[in-house]
Amino acid sequence: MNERKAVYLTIAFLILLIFYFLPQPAGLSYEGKMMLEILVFGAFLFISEALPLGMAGLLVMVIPPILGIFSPQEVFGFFGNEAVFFLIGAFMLAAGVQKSGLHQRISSYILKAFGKSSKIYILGILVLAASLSFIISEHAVVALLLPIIGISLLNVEKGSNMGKAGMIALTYGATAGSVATLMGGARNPYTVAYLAENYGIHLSFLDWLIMALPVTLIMLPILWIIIINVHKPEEFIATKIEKKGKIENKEWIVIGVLILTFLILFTIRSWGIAVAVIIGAVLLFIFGILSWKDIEKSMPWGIILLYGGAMTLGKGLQLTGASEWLASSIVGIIGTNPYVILLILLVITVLMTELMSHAAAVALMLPIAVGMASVIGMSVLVVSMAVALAGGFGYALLMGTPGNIMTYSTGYFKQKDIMKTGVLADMIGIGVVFFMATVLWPLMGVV
Amino acid sequence: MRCLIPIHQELYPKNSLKRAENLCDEIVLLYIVDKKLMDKVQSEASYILPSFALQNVEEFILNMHRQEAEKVKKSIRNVPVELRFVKGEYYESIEREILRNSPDILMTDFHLRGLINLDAPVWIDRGGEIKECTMIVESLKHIGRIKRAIEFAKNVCNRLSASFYIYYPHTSDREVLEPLGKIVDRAGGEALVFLKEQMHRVPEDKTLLLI
Repeated sequence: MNERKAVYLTIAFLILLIFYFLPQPAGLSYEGKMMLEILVFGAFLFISEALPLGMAGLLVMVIPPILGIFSPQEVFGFFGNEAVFFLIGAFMLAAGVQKSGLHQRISSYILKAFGKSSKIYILGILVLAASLSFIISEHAVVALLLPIIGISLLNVEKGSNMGKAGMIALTYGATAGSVATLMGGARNPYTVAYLAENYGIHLSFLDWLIMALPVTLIMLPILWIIIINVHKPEEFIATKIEKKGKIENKEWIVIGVLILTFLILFTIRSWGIAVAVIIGAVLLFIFGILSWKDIEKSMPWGIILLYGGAMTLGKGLQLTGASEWLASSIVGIIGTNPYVILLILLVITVLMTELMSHAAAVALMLPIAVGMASVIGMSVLVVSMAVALAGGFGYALLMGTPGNIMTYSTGYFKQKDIMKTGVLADMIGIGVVFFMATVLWPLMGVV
Repeated sequence: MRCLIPIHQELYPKNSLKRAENLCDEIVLLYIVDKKLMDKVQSEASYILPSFALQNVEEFILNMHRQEAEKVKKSIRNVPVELRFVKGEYYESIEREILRNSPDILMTDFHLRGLINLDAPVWIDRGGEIKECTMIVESLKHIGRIKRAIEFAKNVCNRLSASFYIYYPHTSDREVLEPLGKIVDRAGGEALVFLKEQMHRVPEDKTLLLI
């Protein structure tokens, strides 16, 4: 650990210590006060990255038993949730797609179809990245597509507008697509689990898709217009992507397994969200697409462990009454206008996602946002979904999402280039989610 | 003249690369892939990406930069070019290269604070035709080194057929500088060659710090 991180870690523990000795606020239990201190402690760790996020998640899990807030059985019980197994299964399915090379075939089809002009090609990159983010985590999509898009842009000069637009479209497409399904980002299954555990609201895969897909569909053309107007791409000749022959057996198997998985997810609601993806993963294993070694290599434990910390925070704040106390205090200051509150929540969530991991931002914001919704009588489901979707943005800063950093590091664009498009994209994104929450979802009967 | 041109993805010295073909006898291209950035990619992505994907990403990014470095090298046709591809921190990599290669001058387009501590003359090119060079002398404390610096700067300017001026902000002791070049009251000119007060840090036997 370097010196800077050691200092941050010390500050994080000092925060714990200071909070511990602060007087008990009126209307808040000891456990509630302690959970709030863990919230601040967690937020500081997530922003400063003093520890890897997975380790920070684990630390957040072990502090409540130490402070006597919950028993170890209760805390580790928060982790035993179907969303965790959904994540594990989804990562295995993604590994199957990657290993079969199906993503390369999809890429070559889509990029070929959109290869008419540079502007249409940018749209193609957006559509490709977004589509793959429906079944693979957004960051993995950027990692998988980076070589493919990079090779197609080989003829493009560094610093040219086409290079900037192409690489920015890659990360933006993945970000926009990641909100649409539960597989796009860990924050999505986390939100589903949070609502089920704390409020008895059970969202199926299809419910999420119906509510969230419109955001992706609205954002994609908007992002395209922003990118091609801010970085007007010059005409270019795409380097030909190696043409793949006939679809191989292993690709057919993965296609079949994915279709079966989605059929189960869409039709058998009583199986929840994890059963189908686990069945899919097992089938990939049985058909020899994945070996155990592949599964071991494909499991990003960091995000799974972070999930444990997120669940501890969410459940802990709710059970101790801390989220309601905090929400009442905030409402006392900013008033009870639901539109103003929603807008503030969305802006804060997007700002947080620009500074920390999406999952961490949603984990921190959800208990507070839902607490505020309860206090002023807003729909818990609407507010949760709005926060979860806004938590998927992060278009402006390099640290907004790992995809931004990965594409930036290719050297095709500079920090100021992504800022130019990203600030606009974030603001419009907030507007789109606000519109969904206040107009479209109520029209769809979501309450 | 042996010129060192550092290239970084945020600091691409377009003007210097153009100028170097007329100004230099030999070019050392130092292509720096930012280590901090690559570490950031690792730390940001490692908690979410499986290890194989992360490794592929890093290899691919390095490859892209390698290809870009080769492209830049090929674009310089009239002068021999040595390409150095390194993964490291910007200033540290330059310092190491100066020690290794002892270039006559470092060329860049960017006025960066860190450059003043480098143990080599620095040329900052702002593009366009250079009609005037102005060397800024802030102090006459080390007159021997200043004289050598002025000779060097004059030579560089002569190569560009530009007029050479000296800017000295003080009223006293101007006569010391008068035989060395025309003294102007205000600093101007396209190419700025100016001597920083930090020059006393530069050892006597090394080239002067010009910026």
